[in-house]
Amino acid sequence: MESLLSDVTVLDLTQAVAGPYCAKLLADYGAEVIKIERPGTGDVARRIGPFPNDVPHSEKSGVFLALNTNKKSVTVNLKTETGRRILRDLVPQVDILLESYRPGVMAKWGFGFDDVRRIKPDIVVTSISSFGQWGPYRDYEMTELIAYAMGVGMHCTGVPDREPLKLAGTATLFQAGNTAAVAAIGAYFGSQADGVGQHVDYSIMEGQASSVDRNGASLMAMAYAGEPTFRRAFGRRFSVLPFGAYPCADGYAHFTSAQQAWWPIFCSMIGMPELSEDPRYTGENFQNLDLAEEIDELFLPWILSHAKREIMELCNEIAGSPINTMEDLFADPHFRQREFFVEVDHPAAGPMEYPGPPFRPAATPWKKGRAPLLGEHNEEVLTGRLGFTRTDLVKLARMGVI
Amino acid sequence: MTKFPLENLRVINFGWVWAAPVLGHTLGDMGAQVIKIETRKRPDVIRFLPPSIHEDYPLESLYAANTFRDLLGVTLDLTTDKGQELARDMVRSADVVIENFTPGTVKRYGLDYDAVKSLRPDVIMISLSAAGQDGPSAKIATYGNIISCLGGLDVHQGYIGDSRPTTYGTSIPDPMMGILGAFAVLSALRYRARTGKGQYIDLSQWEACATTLGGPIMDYVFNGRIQYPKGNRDDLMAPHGVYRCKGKDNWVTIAVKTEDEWRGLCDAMERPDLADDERFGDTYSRQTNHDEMDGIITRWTSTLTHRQVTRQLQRAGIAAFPALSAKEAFDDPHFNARGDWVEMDHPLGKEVIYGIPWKLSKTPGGIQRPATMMGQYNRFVYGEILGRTEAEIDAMEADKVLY
Repeated sequence: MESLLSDVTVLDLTQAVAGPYCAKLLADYGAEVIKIERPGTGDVARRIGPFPNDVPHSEKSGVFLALNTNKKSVTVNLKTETGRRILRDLVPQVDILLESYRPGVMAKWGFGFDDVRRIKPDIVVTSISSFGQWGPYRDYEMTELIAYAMGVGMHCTGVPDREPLKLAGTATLFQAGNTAAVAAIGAYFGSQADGVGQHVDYSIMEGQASSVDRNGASLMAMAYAGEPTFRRAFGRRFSVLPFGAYPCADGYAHFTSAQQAWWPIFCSMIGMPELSEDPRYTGENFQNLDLAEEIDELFLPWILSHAKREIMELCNEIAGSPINTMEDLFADPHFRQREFFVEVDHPAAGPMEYPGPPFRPAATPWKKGRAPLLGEHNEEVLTGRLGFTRTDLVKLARMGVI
Repeated sequence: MTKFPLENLRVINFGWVWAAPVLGHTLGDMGAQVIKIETRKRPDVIRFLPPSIHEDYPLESLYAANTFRDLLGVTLDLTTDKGQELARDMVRSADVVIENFTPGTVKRYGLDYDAVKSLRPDVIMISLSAAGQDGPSAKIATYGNIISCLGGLDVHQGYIGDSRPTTYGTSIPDPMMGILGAFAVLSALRYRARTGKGQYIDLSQWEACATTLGGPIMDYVFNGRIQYPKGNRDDLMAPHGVYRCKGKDNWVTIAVKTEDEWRGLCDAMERPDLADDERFGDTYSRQTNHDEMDGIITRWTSTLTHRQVTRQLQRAGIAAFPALSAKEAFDDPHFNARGDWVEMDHPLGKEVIYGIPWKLSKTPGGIQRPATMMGQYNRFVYGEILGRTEAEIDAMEADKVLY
């Protein structure tokens, strides 16, 4: 079936999370993505897990399987001359090249932007790196922890007086992949228009700094006003209404309630409509934070006797929400009705449910597909695209090239 | 050579708050003409968030300065007949229409996809709603922080040992979903360039958020396991944490991947004895004794600033970096060397905003317009683009159609 990006071909030299998520977005919406993996071990994400029944297996890593759907895996050892020749021969056949090596590595192998552009003048090379291709910290060591620290997000996450907190999971890296995909496609538009290639230098920390969260987004606001960034306490609120994470009957719920107009709704919700116009809590007193404990005492019995699903229905009007676990997501009737989770079979991992489309184009649906086995498409790509014979492939494999 | 990849593209952005303007300005940064529809009856809440750029202009906050760049702001009351007529006129010339109202609202304004398509057959329309256009929770009202609670991000957010999440209290999904929306629109434009066909895109921010969970969701799929907050710890690295340094609210992050790096850290701390200490003999041991190790590391870091620790450790090839405050990031040499903070001439004075988070080799381009003020481009959009006369525009302003 025709997809959004059916006419786009991508050479993917990335691994782990950010680059593969970028390539996944392109692949799931129709681009042909040829993923180059290191012979033998492949993408480092193959070792990250989680694994079914906690048994490590390079073809069963959950992170790899989820991030590499619809891609073709070709194993190429770029440390060999023939490996590099394979890459050189593939370059003219693709529109976009993604890479996430340390700055300088591609050039060392003869694949700097100028080298690649000589092979294919209108190519878009998108480099995803920690700190960018140049600048004082270019060669610094980085992990996701550090990207979040540099991007200001960390300084405003957590509670006062305790250490700042990392963003949970790898959301920062997903966001990086997402932004890199926008940059790559935007540059591709440009190269289509004028036939001139482009090198996109995307750094994870700049992506963070420009969009982390409300405090980070106001980076300049803070700088102008001379206000420091700050972490919020659990209970810091703007009015007597509940704010922050509260325990409920079967987990936790979160409230961001602040508006005076919500007070009567809150009172009815907890079964005390008589408080709606009580001057102790309305008018000027609505913002009297000394009353917060008093309100929480009224609120806790109610919230503790309600389950997350009920809170979803009852508290939406006052910006209350369940804090969903993975179990909740899988059970959610809304997700079920929209068929968000999709079952995908995989030769090694078997049939499993995976998160589905991040957005749904009506005419050209998101492609449901699976991740490749290591080197699964060696023959298709190397024979089909480059004309190697099957005998060549056997030889190359024995020589450690593929 | 075209200067910007999206020149000659017109986008009508009915969306508001954060995600939709981010989608708009991302296309605007690439050269598209993005018209942002607003009404004084219910101004975009981003405009109110303090601090304000100028005390006489309460609707021009510094939050808006970052978010509303490269947008052409016009006022329009969509509840009036005349307002809807103008909206239809705009849509006729639009390549892309963006909206993020509660599902069903656009139909009331005569701006649902079928109506929009009848005005402009090859239009690309994207709805960035909370939960998608159908399903039992379609009409749920959310802010970004609710999306991250619903979408499964917040449940893992918190200090290790606390089952109660330390929710972000912020809106991480907003900028994420705005950028994702830009990817959706760009891809649909590619399809249109090939086939001549537009289409409708339903983006559920809740679902999109649930696609960014990575390991924890797959652990549930594979093993039925519910994960809890891990604080700053990591499954494969140790030490992996945020450590107090000298000075007020001064913190450094340190992440150690290998045994060599661990020995490097021990040397930096002038504690070579620790390299042979069996409590910390490998990653597994260090994870087991993480608290104890954190105490030792903090004794060292607290005698230095986060910059000093960073310099020392990075020199030894160990991942470390200060947890920058906004002010520190603003002054940081790397961000400044790369020109990440951009000075703009705003009508109310010079302002500095954050730049485009990627660099291009051939067409550097860049941000073209500072944040739009409320209704700043009424004359341009209604006059030059839609061909209304000065008198007509005056009349519509007086009638509060342009309001």
